Amino acid sequence: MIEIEHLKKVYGEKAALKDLSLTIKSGEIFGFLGHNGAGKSTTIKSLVSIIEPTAGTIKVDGLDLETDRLAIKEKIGYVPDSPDMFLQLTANEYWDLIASAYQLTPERKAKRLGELVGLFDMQGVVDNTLDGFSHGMRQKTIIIGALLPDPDVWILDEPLQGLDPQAAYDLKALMKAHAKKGKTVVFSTHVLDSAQQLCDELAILRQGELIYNGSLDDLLATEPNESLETIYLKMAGRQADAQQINAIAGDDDE
Amino acid sequence: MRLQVMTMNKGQLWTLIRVNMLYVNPQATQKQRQKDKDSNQIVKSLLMNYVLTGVLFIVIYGGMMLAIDFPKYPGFFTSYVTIFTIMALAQSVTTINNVFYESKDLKDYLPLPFSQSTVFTAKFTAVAITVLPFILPLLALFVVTAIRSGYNIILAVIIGLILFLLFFVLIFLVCSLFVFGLTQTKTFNRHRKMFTFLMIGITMIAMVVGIMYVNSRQNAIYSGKQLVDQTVIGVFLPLHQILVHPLSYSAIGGVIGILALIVLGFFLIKTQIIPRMYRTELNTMAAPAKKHRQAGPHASRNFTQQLLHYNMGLLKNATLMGQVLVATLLMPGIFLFSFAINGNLNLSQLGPKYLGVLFLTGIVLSQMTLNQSAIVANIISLDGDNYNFIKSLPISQRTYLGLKFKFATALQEALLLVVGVVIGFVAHLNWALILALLAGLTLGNYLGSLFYFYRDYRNLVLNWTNISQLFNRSGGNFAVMFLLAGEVFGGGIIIALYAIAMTFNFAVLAINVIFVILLVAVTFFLIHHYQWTFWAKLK
Repeated sequence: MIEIEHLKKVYGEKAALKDLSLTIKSGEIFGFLGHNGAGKSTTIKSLVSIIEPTAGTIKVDGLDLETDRLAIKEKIGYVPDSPDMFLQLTANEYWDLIASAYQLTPERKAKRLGELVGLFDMQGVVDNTLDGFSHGMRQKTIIIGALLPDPDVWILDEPLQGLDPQAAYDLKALMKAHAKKGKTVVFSTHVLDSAQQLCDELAILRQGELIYNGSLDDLLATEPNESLETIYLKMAGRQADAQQINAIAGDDDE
Repeated sequence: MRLQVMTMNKGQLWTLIRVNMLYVNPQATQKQRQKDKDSNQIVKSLLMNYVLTGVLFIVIYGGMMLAIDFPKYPGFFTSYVTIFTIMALAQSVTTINNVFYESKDLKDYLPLPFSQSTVFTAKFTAVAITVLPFILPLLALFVVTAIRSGYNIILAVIIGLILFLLFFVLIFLVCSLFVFGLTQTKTFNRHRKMFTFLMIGITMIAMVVGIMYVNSRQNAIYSGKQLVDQTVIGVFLPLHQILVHPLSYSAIGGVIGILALIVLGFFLIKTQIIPRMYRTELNTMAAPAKKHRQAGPHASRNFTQQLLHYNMGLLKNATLMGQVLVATLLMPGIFLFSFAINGNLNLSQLGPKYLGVLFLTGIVLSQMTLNQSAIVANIISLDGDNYNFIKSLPISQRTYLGLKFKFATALQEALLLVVGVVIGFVAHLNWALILALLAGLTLGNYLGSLFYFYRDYRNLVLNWTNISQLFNRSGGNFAVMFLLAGEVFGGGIIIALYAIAMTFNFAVLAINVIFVILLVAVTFFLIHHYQWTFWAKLK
């Protein structure tokens, strides 16, 4: 379980996150939705210790990020929004680094890596450096790295970006299976279809503020005749856009 | 943020050292990878290279040092210490910058369960391993001095080694405090690129000037058959005392002083630098994009101006500009400085018959300053991924690359003209000869730029992550050293022969005519060659 209380992040005079409080329960897939700059990545980066919040507390399974940072990191597998890192390492060297960070035994690493490399169809390129990979291949490498230690909490920032349909399908299945085991999956996305397919609970952010936190079903129930896209646009303060989309869609139908 | 627990896992530490070693010299790593070596083999090979370099330095300098009875010549001792200290300082500053900042990987470790102390120890170790060979001659100096002071060899090695390690740690701490202290200031973070450029540039210049200063204040080495000691450099005298008179007050004071400085340095790094460094890194990351002031309305720039503006933006890389300036200014700078301090470069008596000699000197000088770290040798690769995108735009490649070529050549030309004018003034050349020198520099720069621009195109690397990868394509540093040596010696010999012929009025007209014919022929051939092999083939 992840508990976020009064989380705030300010850059100079600009507040990227304003007093965010929410709870992410174990055994569910939790999605962050919002426009660019809404605060999704800031929240996620705060959860994984990349950004230091200006104020507020974060607890993971009862451990406080301020005092138990290393122990919390050991519980988390993280996929960043950009896979452009450690580009001069080969895929195998990158996974070695991750295995070392999480202190995996060689046997455990080999077994898990064998499964993931096979699943994501990475055989044959494991000794190539990441700088020669396409965006999708880098993304797969990073995803394998995040899942390698089999951590309790998966935090995935735009994880489906750049993945081929097969890999995207497999990752979604893994996310569902992980949540089903009673573990936690947190992800952010711009793609509402993905959110609709995956999320048990979601948080919609706008300009650093939480404008919705609840289940997807409850959200859809607020306007039973509208699509998630229209509801989302309305919540995000873009009613006019939503109407325009409907109008264009109507024109197309004619 | 509270500093993470100072736990260190040996397995994690070795993994991180290995990763940092792969990063510290990307070119060497890449070359080893091409030989199908895995990371362990690559790191072993890199370490072996450092060990061999260190041993080579020890043997060469140790051999030279054996000839001097250092206990009796503290001036020589302190001069050697100064030179190697300056070299170690320069090397440390650039390596610390490369490993901690240029690699841009500090943030990537943040989400992983590595303690901060493990990450930093690994990085410091990688820096130390890289810098160590450059300072190892000091170990030879300390051991040789200890042997000459009457210790048996084993004791001399132990004493020399302990003093060397203490001194090495001290230098390392000084550099770390300098770099990390500077990078934590608000002004640095506001003008990060400029300050990095200045830091590396100033360090390089300080190294050259420092070594030349040490040389310039030395006395003649021999007076008759008697070796004359050099001027003692006081700050390093305690090291001499520690080796020669270990029980003297100044020696004991020196040891206590070094230990005190080391303790203070560690304390400052642990309490002031490392926690703040991560904080700075965390706070500067993911900050909203800065608003840039517009010089004028964007739409008013025409296509050429847009491209020039874009190319100017590509040059905002401190390492590149540092390399460019060092490559362009270092060699002429060394010559000028040597001549200036000796005050013996007065060529005011040279007449018009030396126009050809000065023109040729300009050509040779331009080639000495053009190499694979020049702007023109990297300007296409600097595009990175943009290059392929630009190819998809409705822009003629010839126009696009032509503009890049002119831009890069003009920048190099501007630097060379400054160098030429300064040389002209320092050498008291008359205006006609200065103009001949500048004309030679211009032609040499144009022809050399054609070669290096085409070379960049042929060896295009668009997925580079560290700018130094670009400097080491097709040949690397050894190729540059050989080329430079060839240019300096070959060019020097030809210029000397040409000048001697003019001085002794030997076939002045014939030689000048042959020179002009050769010059026109070579120029025509090269321009024609690159026109047909490169420019004409561009779509």
